[in-house]
Amino acid sequence: MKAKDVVQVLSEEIRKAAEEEAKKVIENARREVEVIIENAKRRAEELRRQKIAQVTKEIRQKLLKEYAQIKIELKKEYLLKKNEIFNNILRELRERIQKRSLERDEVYIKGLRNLIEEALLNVDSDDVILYILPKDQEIVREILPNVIEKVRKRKGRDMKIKIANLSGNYIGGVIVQSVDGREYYNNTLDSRMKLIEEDLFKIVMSVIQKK
Amino acid sequence: MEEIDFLRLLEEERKAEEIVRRAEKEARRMIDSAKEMARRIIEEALKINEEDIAKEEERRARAEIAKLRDELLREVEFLRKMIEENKQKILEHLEKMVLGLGD
Repeated sequence: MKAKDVVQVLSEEIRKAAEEEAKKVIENARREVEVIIENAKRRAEELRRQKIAQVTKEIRQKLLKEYAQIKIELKKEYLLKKNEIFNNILRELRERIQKRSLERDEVYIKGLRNLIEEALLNVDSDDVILYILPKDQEIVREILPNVIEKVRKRKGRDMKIKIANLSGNYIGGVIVQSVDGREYYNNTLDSRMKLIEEDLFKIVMSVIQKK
Repeated sequence: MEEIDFLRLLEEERKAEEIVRRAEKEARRMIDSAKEMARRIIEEALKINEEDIAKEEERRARAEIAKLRDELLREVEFLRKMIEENKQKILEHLEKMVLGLGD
């Protein structure tokens, strides 16, 4: 081989090697570019998500304060409406019972008998005063012997009972008080209505569900 | 014997170095440009419209209030209806309780 040809071959080899090296450098740079962009996109997505979450949180907190009052008002309104419904029930109940009490019908008399019996069974003393509305005293005198007999059987002893006027704005029922004043059992219709009032929602729902 | 032209070979070496140097320069430019693009990608991503978010959250809060109002109204109406339909039964039951006639 001539020296000229050798130089030619070497020159080509040198250029080829340089071009390959350059190609490799560019390829590496391209890969690095891809990684940079990919990482940036991921990071951008994460930062955006974080920023949106932060801004949303701040706005929600601000709104929460504003809307909390509205929620309270709505719930208050709801409770008022609900109370109105139950108050109407109580009003009608009171009217029904007042009517029975005034008419002193069979149901009322039966009820009065039960209320007296229950009250007597709930005091330990055997010497008691029955406070009864004046209008009911005649009936009570009629039904009392029968009630006393029932109580005597349950308690196993006799009771000494005195009837007195129940004063105050009561619809009816009875208050039993031991003569020594130590025991007191309020079984007036009014106090029983009060007890019902406390559990009215539960009672009404149980009646509705009992189809 | 013919002599090898070393000067030409040196010239070829110089040209080769130039090719690699240019490639390296181009690679640096590509990377710098990618870094700049990355910076812009992040910058763009962080440009969020707070007003839109506020509007959406406000809409959501209003919807929640409306839903609560509907629920409470429905509940009251349901209660009213149930009580109205069962009123006699309820009153009789309560009356019995007050009068000590069972329950």
